[in-house]
Amino acid sequence: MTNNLLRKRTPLSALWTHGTIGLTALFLVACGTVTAIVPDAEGVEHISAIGMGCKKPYELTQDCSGLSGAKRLVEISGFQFKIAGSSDGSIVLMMGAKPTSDAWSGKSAETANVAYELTKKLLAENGVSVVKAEPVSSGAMLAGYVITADGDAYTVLSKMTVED
Amino acid sequence: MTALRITLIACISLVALGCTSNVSRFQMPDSDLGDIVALHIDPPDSEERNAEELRSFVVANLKRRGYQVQTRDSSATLGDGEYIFDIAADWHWDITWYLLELRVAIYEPGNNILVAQAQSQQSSLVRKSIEEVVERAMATLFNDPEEKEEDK
Repeated sequence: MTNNLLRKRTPLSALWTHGTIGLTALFLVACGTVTAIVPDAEGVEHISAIGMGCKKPYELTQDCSGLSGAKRLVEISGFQFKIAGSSDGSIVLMMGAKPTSDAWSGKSAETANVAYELTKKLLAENGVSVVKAEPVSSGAMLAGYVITADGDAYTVLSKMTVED
Repeated sequence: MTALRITLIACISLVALGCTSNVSRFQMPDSDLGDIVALHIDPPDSEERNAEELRSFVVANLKRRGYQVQTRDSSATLGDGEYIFDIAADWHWDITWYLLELRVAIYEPGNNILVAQAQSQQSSLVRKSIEEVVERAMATLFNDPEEKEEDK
């Protein structure tokens, strides 16, 4: 009886496992691969979200956690995201962008791009220019950007802090 | 077995129906598309797939809308009403090549601050032509009433 059950369950469970993996892969191919990045970051090497930390590739001493990444929550024009920064504020990691309420109609990782553009505009209004934008990605998913600025971008962005 | 069938059907339906295509649009707060007179576009990159064809559809669409379209000269200083138009396409391989994602965006000259952008995505199952994808993205970018109704 036990052997019969095992014989019956093995193909089913194999089908289940392979089917689930296959469909997940198909789903990701169909829906999850958003690779377009902002023009400022075109041709720039991506930073792996998995490989990065508070010490590498940049030393981020402000609001950075080795476990969760950027810690300070900011909001610009209806987009919330978390930031961490270097000691002089010229390097900022921004990640986890999400729109609040009906800030926009997008449903994808493109939100990171919009958050970047809003950030760039805010910095420009405060006399700080982005000199380099590096995409941070996890597999095919865009997770955020590391911005290098010509001034203290982190202080400017920190003024947009909201309660987590 | 029933649970397996239901799960499989649900997953296939999700892939086949839920993720076939998607458009999104963003316009910078306080920006106005009404003052655009001319748009400057980079020449097609010969190393990018179908770049020339894609660009020609975009240019034709912009001209139909009454905009002056010029090839971008990065050394030139742009005047009032002149903006930069950016095209980014992402092609994927699935038995044949298809246009997975098209992003069109308008930037202010000089500081490259975004004015507005639209993105059109489609899955391998949809595979609309380049022209159709361009039309959809452009209609979304310029907020055409027809596109709004279609989205509803």
